[in-house]
Amino acid sequence: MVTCYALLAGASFVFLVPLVWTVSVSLTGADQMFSTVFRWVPEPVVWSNYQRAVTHIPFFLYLRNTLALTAGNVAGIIVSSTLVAYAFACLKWPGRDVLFMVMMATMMIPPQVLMIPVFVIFCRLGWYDSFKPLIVPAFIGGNAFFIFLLRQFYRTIPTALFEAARIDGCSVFGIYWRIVLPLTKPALATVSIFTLNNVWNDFMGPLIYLNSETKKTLALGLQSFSATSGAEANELMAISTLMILPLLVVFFLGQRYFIEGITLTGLKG
Amino acid sequence: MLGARMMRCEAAWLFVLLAIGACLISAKTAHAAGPTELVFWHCVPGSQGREFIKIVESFNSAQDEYAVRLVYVPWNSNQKIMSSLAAGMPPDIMYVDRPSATGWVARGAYQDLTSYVEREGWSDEQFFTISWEDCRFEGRQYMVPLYSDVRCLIYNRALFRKAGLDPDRPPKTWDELLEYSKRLSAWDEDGHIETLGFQHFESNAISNLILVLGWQLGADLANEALTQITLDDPRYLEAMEYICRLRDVTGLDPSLRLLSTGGQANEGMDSFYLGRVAMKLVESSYFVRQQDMAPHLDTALAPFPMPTDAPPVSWLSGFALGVPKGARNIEGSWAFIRYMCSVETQLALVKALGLLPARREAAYHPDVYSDANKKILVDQMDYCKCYPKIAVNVEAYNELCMATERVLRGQMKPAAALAQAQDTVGDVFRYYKMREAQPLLDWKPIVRVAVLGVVAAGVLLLVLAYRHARTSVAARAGLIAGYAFCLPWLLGVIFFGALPLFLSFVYSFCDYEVIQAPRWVGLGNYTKMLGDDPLFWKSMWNTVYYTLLAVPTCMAIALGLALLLNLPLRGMRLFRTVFYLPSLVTGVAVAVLWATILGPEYGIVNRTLEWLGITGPLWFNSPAWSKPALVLMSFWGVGGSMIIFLAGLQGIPRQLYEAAEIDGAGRWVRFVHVTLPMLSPTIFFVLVVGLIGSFQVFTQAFVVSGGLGGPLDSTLFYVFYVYRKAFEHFQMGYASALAWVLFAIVFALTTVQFWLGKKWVHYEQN
Repeated sequence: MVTCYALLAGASFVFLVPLVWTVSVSLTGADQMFSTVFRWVPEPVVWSNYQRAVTHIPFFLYLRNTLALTAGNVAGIIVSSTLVAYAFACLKWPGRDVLFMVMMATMMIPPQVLMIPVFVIFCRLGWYDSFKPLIVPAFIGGNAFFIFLLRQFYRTIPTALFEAARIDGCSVFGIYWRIVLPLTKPALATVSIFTLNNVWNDFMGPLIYLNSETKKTLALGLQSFSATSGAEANELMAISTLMILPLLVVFFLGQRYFIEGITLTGLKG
Repeated sequence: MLGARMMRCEAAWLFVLLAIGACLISAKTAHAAGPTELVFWHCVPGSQGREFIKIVESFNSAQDEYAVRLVYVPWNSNQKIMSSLAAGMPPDIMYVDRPSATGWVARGAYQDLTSYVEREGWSDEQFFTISWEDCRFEGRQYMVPLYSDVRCLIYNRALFRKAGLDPDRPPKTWDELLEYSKRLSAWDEDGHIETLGFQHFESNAISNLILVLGWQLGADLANEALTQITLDDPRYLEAMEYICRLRDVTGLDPSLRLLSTGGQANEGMDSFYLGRVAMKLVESSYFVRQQDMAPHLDTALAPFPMPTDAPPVSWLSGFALGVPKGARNIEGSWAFIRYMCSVETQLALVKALGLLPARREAAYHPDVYSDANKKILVDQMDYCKCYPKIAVNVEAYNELCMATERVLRGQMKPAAALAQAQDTVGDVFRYYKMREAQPLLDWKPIVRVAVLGVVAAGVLLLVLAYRHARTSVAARAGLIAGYAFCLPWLLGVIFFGALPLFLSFVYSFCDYEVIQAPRWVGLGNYTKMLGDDPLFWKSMWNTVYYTLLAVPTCMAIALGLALLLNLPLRGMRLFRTVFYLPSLVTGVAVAVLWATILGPEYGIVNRTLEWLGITGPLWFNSPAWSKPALVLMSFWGVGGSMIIFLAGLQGIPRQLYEAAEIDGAGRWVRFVHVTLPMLSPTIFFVLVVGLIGSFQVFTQAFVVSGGLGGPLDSTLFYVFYVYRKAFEHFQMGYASALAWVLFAIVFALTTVQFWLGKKWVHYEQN
C-alpha cells in the first residue's frame, strides 16, 4: 500500500507541474514577468490579474454561451450516441456492419478537408452565426468516437441478460432503457465528461461559425489575449485557470458515476 | 428492475440540461433598427486591441448611417476567412496583412476599389508611394493602406554602455554590425552565453533577415517582369554568407539556448525583453509593444545597417483595409475605409497604438515626426521595398527563410539550399500559372454517377432488408429497431458526413483553390504527391515516428495510472482529478505553458536536468528533439485514455476476481487472466482510436511551432501539411488528395486491427 501511495504521489507531482505553473503565472505581476528567476509562489501575489482578465473580455457573457453549447451538446450526444451504439452493439440488422465501417471511416478523414463543404451546407441552411451548427450535429449522429466507445462497452454485457429480459416481456427499447443504460453508467459518464471537455475547449467550430461578439465562447475569448505580447501571459493564464475551474469541479464531483456505476453485480437484481 | 430509479434520476439530469440549453439558445440578442450594420474583422489582440476598438467605434459616433461591428478574428484564421468566402458570407471590411494579401487578391478574394479611390482623388500623393503600390495589383486598387511597419534595428542602450559602445551611435554598415555583435556578446565564467550581440535567428518564427539583406544588395524574390522566381540570385548567396558570419560570433546552439522559443508563442520570455539580446531586426511595431510591455528597458531604433554606407533599404509591410468579394454593402465599407484612412484617424492611431501612418500628411505631422524614433522610420519610407506582386510570394519568402535555416543549422551549404528553394518555389509558381490551362470541372457527370450510386445502394439495401425481414418475426423487429435507432444518425452521416466526404473525393482530382471554381486535373495530385513531393514523405515519416513513439507509451502510462487509481484506497478522488487535470488546459495557453516547461534555458525540465548535472536538449528548438518533446507533452494528456480504462476496469465483475482468488490465483495471474481479457474491448478501443488520432496529430504541433512546423519541418505532421496546402497555399484539391491517401492508410491499419482483434478481444456476447 505504501508503494502505491508513493507511486501515486510521485506521479501527482509530475502531473501537477503544468497546473501549478499556470496558476503561478496567473498571479504574477506585470513587472515580474521578465524576471529570469521563476518563483512558484509569486511575490507579491497579484490577484488583480483575474479582475483585469475578466473585464478584458465579457467573461460572463462568454461563459453563458459556452454553457449553452455544452449543455446542448452533452444532451445531444447522450441521446443520439447511446441509441446508435445500442443498435450497433446489441441488435442484428442487415447493413449494420457496413454502416459501422462507414462510421469508423468518418473518423479517419482529416476534418480539415471536410470543413469547407460542411460549412457551406450549414450556411445554405441559414445557420451561420448561430449555435445551430455547433449543437444540431450532436443530436443527429453525435460523434463516431463516442459511438465506438459505447459500442465497446455495450458488447461486454452478456447476451444472456437480454434473453432473460426478452422473456420477461421487455421491448427492444426497454432493454436499452432498463438494462443497457444502467449497466454502462461509467461509460456514459466518460462520454459526458469528454463531451463537456471537448465543447468547452472547442476553438475551431465557434471560430468559423460564430460572427458576433455576443455569441462568442470562452475558448474564442481566450484567443483574444495576445500570445504575442507575452507580458500579458499572466492575464492569459488567469483566464485559463478560470476556464479550467468549472471542468475541475464537475470532474471531481462527477466521479461518483465512474466509480459507483453498477457493474455486472446488477445481475442479482 | 434495479437501476430504474437511478435511470429516472439521470433522465431528470438530462432534462435539466436540455432545458438550460433551450433557454440559453432562445435568449436572443435584441436587434436594434437604425444604422446599417457593417461587419469588420480585425486581428489586433490584447491591450492594443482595446485601443483599436475605441478608434473604430469613434466612426459609429461620428455618423449615423452605418454602425461598424467589430469581430476579433485571431491571426492565422485562414479557415474562417476561406470558408466565409466559399460560402459567400464574408464580412464587409477586412483588416488585411499586406504581405500575404497578394495571393488572395490574385485569386479574386477582394473587391476592386479603383473607382472609389479615384472618386476620392486618393493616390500616392496622399499615401507613401511604396504602401500605395503595395495595395495595387495589375494596375487596380484592391485595398487602402492603414499603417506601415518598417523593419529596423532595435538595440539595448544599457548593453551598449556596458560594452563601452556609444549608445547614440548604432552600427551603420554590415562590418560594423558584425564588430558590434562581437563586442556585445558576453559569456559567464562557466562559458554559458550571457548576452547575444545580435540575434541572427528567430527560432519557431520566421526570420526576415535574409529578405532584408537581399533587398539591401538589390536582389528580390522575383524578377521585375514577375515572370520568374529568383531565389538563386547570387546576391542572396552573399547575404546568406554574411548571416553565417553573424552566427559564428556565438555559434548557433548557444544562441538557440538563449533565445528560448521566442516569437509568437512565448514572447514573455523573449530574450530581448529579458535584456539578454543587444540588437535585433524587428518590425517597428515591436518597438511599440516593447515600450508598452517592458518599459524598464532603455532601447532605441536605428535603420538596419547597410552593406556599405548608403541610404537604408528595408522591408515595409503593414496592414490595409479591404472589402472581400461578396460583401453586400461596398458603399458603406468604403465610408468606413475613408474614415479610417483619413489624416485625423491616422493621427489618432499613432497616438493610441504608436503605429506608423500610411499617409504622408500624418507621418510628417509634428506629433509624429518630432519623435526621434518615428522620424528614423518615416525617413526610411522612400527607400523601402515590398514583396513582389506574384501570387506565390508567401511561399517564396517562406522557402527563402527555410533555406537560411537549413544553412544556419549546418544541414546544407548556402548555394545548395538556395538552389533547392528556387526549385521548390519555381515548381509552385509553374503549377499556379498552368492552372488556367486546366478545364473547369464539369459537375454533370459527377452528379449523375453520385445519384446512380445512391439509388443502387438504396435498392440493394431494400432487397437485403426484405430478404432479412422474411426470415422471422424477430428479424423483422430487429431490422425496424436497428434502423429506427440509427435514423437520426443516418441523416447526419448522409448530409454532414457522406456528402462532404464525396465532395472532398471529387476535389482530390481537381485544382481547387476554394475561392475559385475547381479545375479537373485527373490523377495529377496523386502522381505529384507520390512522385515529386519531398514534404509528403517527410510529413509521413514525422507522423509515423510520432505514432510509434506516442501510442504505445501513452497507452501504457494511461493503463498503469488507471490500475493504480482503481485500487480501493482513500483519497482516490483527488488523485484521479490530479491526473486528469493537465488534459484540461488547451488553446494558446498550451503553447505558452509547454514552451516554458520545455524551454531550453529557463524551462522547468531543463533546470531540473541541470540540477542533476545534465545539459538538457533544445527540445522544440532542435530538429532531433522536437518530436520527442511533443511525445513528452502528450504524456500529460493521457487523462482521457486513463478515464476510459478506469471505466472499463469498473465494468469487470468483482465475482470474477473473487472466484480467481478462491482458486488460489495471485495478483499477476489475476491481472493476466481476469483483468486483461475483461478489459480487452477497452484496450482495443483505445488502441484503434489512439492510432487514428495520432495519424491526425496536428493541433499541438501547430500551436507549439507557431504554425510553422519547424524546426526544419521536423514537426510538420501529415495533417499539418494537409492544413498548410488547404489553407495557406490555396491547394484544397491537393490537400484533399493528401487526406484520401491518409484515409487509405488508416483504413487499412484499422481493418487489420479489427481482424487481429478477433483473436484477442474478448466480448461477453460471443
